Amino acid sequence: MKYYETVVIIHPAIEGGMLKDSIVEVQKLVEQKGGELKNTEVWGRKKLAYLIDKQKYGTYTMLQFIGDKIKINEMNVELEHNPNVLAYMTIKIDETEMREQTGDLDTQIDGQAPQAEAEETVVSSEEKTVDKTPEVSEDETKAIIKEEGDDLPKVDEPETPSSDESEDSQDKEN
Amino acid sequence: MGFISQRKICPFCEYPEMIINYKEYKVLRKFLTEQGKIIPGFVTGVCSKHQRHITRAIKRSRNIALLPFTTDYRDI
Repeated sequence: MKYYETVVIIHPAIEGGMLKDSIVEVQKLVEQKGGELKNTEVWGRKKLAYLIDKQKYGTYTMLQFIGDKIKINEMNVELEHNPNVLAYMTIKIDETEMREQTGDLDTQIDGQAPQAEAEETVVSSEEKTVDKTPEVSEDETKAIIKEEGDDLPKVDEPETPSSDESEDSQDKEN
Repeated sequence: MGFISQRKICPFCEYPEMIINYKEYKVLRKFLTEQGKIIPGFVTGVCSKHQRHITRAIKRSRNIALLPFTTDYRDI
C-alpha cells in the first residue's frame, strides 16, 4: 500500500458553497483514479509567496489517500486543466505522516471565520481577569506599594538619562 | 593564543521533536536569506543529513507558494 498527499490551491474568488463543490470535485477525481481517501484538511485562505495567475491569495486544501495502482499522472493532468485550481502538488509520504479526519468539510470551511472571533473572545476574557485581580486584593496592593516605596527612586533614576538621550537624538535630527 | 573550537550544534539533532516538513514553512524561513536563497549548512550549523531534509522541504513548499523562489530586489 502506498501513501500519497495532494495539496491544492483553489482560486480565492471561490467561497462558501462553491468552495465545497470544487473540493468535492477534487475528492471525486482522486477516487475515480483509484485512490482511497483517508483525510481532507482545509487550511484556509493564505497569502501566496508569489503571484499565480495574477492572484495574491489562495485557499489551501490537503488530501491524503492510499492505494496501490493510482493513476497519479492522469490525476495531475485533470488538475492542470481545472480552472478553479491555481496550483497543486502530489507527493508520496510515510505511513506515520497520515492524519485522522477531524471534522466534516462543512465545519472546516465554516470554521475558518469563527476561529478568529473565538480568539478575540479569549483575549477579551483574559483582559477581564487581569482587571479583576487588583480589585479583589486592595489591602494587599496597598501593602505592596508601601514595601516597594523604597525602591521607587531607584527606578526613576535610569529613566531620566534615557529622556535626555531622546532629547539629544531629537536635537541631532533637527 | 590557543584555538577554541566553536562548532555549532545542529538544532534538529539537539531537539528531535522539531519536525522538518514542507508545511512548517515558518521554521524553514529561518534557513533562507532575504533573497530567498537556501543558506548552506556550514553557516547555520545544521548537519548534512538534516540539511538534505531542509533542502527537500524548502523546494516542496516553494512549489505550492508557501515560500518564495526569489524576491523582487526593488522591494528590499
